[in-house]
Amino acid sequence: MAAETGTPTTLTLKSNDDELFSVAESAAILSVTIRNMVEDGCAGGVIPLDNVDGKTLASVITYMNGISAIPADEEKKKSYRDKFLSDKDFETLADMVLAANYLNMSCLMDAVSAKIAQVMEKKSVGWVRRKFGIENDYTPEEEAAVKEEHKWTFEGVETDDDN
Amino acid sequence: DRISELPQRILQQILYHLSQEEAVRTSVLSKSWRYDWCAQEFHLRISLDDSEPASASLLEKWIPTLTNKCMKKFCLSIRSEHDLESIHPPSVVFEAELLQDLQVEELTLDRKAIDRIIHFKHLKTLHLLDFRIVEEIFRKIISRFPLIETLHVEDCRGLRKIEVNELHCLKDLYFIEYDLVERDEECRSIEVYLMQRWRSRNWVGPSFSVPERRGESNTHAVMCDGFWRFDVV
Repeated sequence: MAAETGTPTTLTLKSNDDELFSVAESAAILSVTIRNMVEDGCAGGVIPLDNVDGKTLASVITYMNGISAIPADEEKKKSYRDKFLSDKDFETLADMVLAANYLNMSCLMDAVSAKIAQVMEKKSVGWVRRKFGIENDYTPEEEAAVKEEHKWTFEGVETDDDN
Repeated sequence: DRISELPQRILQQILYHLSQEEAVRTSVLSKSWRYDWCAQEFHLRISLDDSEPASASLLEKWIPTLTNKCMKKFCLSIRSEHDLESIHPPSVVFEAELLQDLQVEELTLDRKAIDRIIHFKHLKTLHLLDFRIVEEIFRKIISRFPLIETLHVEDCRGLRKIEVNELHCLKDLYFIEYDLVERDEECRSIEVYLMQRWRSRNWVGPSFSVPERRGESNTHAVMCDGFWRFDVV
């Protein structure tokens, strides 16, 4: 990559709904996908990100800027990530994790996955189904059989009425 | 629904952050979740104790569950809480065909145990620690783990000779002889036999470590032609 001396390089990212965003190259290359483009010299014009919408991209860029401003201090980075994700609902988290996967940002993907897992922790099957809108396509007999197979994993779990 | 439609790579990442029990429990959510948890790595660490049958029964619950599935990686560590040499690993351990990593500590492995050992085609790491074993049994055990890459043998009473000639995949052999403080005559001298034909196209040779105890070691490496590193730690 031919970085110009003095001025920090800025990249222009385009979401799939045609919103344009400017972001410092140093922050954007947290995404391995973008970093590869920069290294291959194909980041000169506008970088189209076909799998990310504007709302999600704005959020991801906020994260990129926030985390890259923190010096190498894993504790501080972790607490930034926790705070950044603390007020996000599941729909937003799902958009973020898909974007992180597409952009190949392992730290964000890991943090969002952990956050989603946290929601499921210690919850009954019925609660998780309701929370995430998962349709139970087992017949009652099939469900009973799967439960029976893993019966002991249900020890100590909160039960609720439909479970 | 959105969560079930996430790519496998992401779902696996989410399951990774759940406890093992919770990951298995997601199989009840719906059909698409039934086997998602199987791609996780599983690590079990269990202490066996005669007075506490629950730990052995936990093992009996876990192993069949894990063995029936296409586990990515299955690691098991079992030890007994007491220095009772009478404790045998439950037979279910020897049925865990998909096991990749087995650590056995302070348990007895004798003829009774080896009769039940099946061929562990996936086992890559075997760590035997602090137990009594005779050479014949050791040899038989080793023969059931043909693809072993890492073999750690530590503080094993009754073992005088280690032959690893048949372990063609062996990359790392780590051996600490039994502490001689109890003057156990039978393990005064231990010979480790390595093979000469550790030569394949990708040959790097195993690394071989024998930490020296009390400045005086009775361990000899015999036929040590062809190993890549010899460490006296």
